[in-house]
Amino acid sequence: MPPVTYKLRIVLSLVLPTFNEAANIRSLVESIDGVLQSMPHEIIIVDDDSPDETWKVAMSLALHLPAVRVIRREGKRGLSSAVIDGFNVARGTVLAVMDADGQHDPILLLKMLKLIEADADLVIGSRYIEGGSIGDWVGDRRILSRAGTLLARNLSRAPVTDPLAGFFMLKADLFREIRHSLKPAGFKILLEILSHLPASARISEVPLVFRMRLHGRSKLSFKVNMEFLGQVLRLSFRRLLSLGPLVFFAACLAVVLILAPKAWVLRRIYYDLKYRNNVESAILTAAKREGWLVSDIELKSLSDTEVSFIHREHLRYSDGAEACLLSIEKKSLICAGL
Amino acid sequence: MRWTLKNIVLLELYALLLVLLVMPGGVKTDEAKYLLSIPYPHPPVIRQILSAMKSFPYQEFLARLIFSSIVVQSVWFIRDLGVVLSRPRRAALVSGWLFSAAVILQSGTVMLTTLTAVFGLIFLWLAMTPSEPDQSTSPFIGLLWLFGLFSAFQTVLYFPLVWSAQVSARASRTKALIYVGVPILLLGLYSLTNPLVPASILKLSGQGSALPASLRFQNAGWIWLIAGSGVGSLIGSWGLIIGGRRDLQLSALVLGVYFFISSAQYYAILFTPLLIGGVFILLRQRKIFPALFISLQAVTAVILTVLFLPPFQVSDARKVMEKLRARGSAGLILIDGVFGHEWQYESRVPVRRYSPELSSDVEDLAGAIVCTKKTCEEQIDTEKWVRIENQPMEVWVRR
Repeated sequence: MPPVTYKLRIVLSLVLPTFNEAANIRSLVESIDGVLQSMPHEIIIVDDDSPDETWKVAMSLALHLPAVRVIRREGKRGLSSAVIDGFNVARGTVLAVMDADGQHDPILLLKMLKLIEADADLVIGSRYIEGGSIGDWVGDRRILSRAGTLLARNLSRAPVTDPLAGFFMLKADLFREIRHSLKPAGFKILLEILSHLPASARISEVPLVFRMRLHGRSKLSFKVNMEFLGQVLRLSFRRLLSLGPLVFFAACLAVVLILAPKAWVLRRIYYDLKYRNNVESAILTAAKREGWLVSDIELKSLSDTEVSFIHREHLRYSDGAEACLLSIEKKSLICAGL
Repeated sequence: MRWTLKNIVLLELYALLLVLLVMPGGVKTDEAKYLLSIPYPHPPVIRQILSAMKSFPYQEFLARLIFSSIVVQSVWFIRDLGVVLSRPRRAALVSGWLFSAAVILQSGTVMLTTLTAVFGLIFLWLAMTPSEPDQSTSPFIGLLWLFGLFSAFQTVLYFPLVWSAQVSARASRTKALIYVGVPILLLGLYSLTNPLVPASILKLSGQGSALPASLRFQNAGWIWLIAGSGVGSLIGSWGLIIGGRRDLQLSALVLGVYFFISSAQYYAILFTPLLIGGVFILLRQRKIFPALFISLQAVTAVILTVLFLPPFQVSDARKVMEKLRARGSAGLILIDGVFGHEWQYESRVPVRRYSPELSSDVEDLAGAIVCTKKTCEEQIDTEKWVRIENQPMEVWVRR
């Protein structure tokens, strides 16, 4: 009889999106595995077919670390979509993502998990709360990051200090709830998630001290910045869509405010048949006398004895118009050019 | 990207061709109404926009090109609708619009029915494509509906599609009712501000109902045929019947009744979006040969276009007004008999109606009298007026 094996339910699925991180991935995965050894977990490395063959290093790691799974994406690029692909195949009840360049401290994973267990739906490793820091970034990157963060804060459905963080954890159920709305483009997947969160989602932040990358070069480029701008614009437009009901009712109210006074002024011709016939007869008599087309007459107001209207010639180049006062009984007419 | 750009340019050339097809006929009375923003029968939005261009020297051409471009380029909605189909089938769906005789005959006209059909197409697209489940599009569909209704009354004929678009956008029943119902109420309010509107609607429906039922059936049949160029009419109607989409069926029924009452052929384009919906359903469900469909559609479109294309001749109004301008005729132009707004459009001086009740003060200001009825000779004082020869009708100028 073969030995009975019990598979423990995986608690945490950590996704590591990689591109040219061959020099960093081994030490990072080993240190994560060490931190998470007390709980059932998996580490999903999603590699965009790195020229430095990060995927090969990852696969060799998977041979002796059973928690490691590797996805090699050929013909597909982008950090956000890599994270989503990783989340889609994850088996854990909690999902997390962190940078694969060693700038995020794996120790924080335990702290984040505790907050999830304490009923948070999403936990962010924030560089901008007390105890967190952006480390030794040079001036221009510091300014760019700050400006980007300020822009992004307005797009998040919940008040968070670091909506552009690359280190966060969320419940798998929450991800499944919103995943069809996500448009994974660019680098900032957390911002995408934050802008689609249900209002009831509970968010916590833990301080994150950004560390220096272990090896290799930063992926921040002009293209990445443009992609971020594109994402901000798209999400801003989506935000604008949320103002839809307000815009609709404002438009309807404007129509009412424009039309209602005019309809009120003309109301008598709709309920007083005799009065309407008198008005009609006076207008037709005046129109015949002047040679006017009835369609060139625009009623402005009515009283017991007089009709005021505007007569327009409806000409192409010089549209002459005159304001007229017509006596209903005497059918006398006074007009003045406008 | 380059492919899309190439197609946009090709479609634009097609739009231009459709303009050139109808432009030699000159401005028709309804077109003049919109170009000059004469306030009936339709609500103000589009005609106000058009009249803002009325001082442009090429207003007519510009308006025709804008209308035609909107109609032709709206094929992109159909392409998006057909994204689930194979490429040849998608091409067949697209040809259903581009080779519809109604689209060919009416795109280049400045008639609000063409834009109404585009609204119909957008509502069809919204109703038949699944949207994000966050309801954010719902109020914007309501705004588009409001805009459509305030552009042309006939947009109301698509209300089943609009309702369906709201349902597709996951709006609750109450919200859908508000977004569909409030714009209709506002349109009712607009009608009360302009007594010409209900009067002209009653007049138009009266004209239609004066025709015998057999003729009205015949006209409705021609409208149906033109709408889908025959082949598209058949396939589309079959799709509408077997598709089981109540929104499309109800809209088709409402439009059918409307065609029966009004009997005007230029309404054909209003039916084309629904036929597109039917063709789409059938292309998804049944074995249709796309190449055969496209070829037959193109051939029937050509035949129907030749049959129904207005004659390539300059309108009487344009001929007369050009002649009067050339003669340097000054003063008002009086017209005796029935005439349309194209006379106002072609004139550079005020046009008035000539009748026995006309005040002598006004008559003294006149520079010409145009007679659209058989003859006006008996009423004209030949001591004061002289007739110009070689005109399509009697034209009198001051001696």
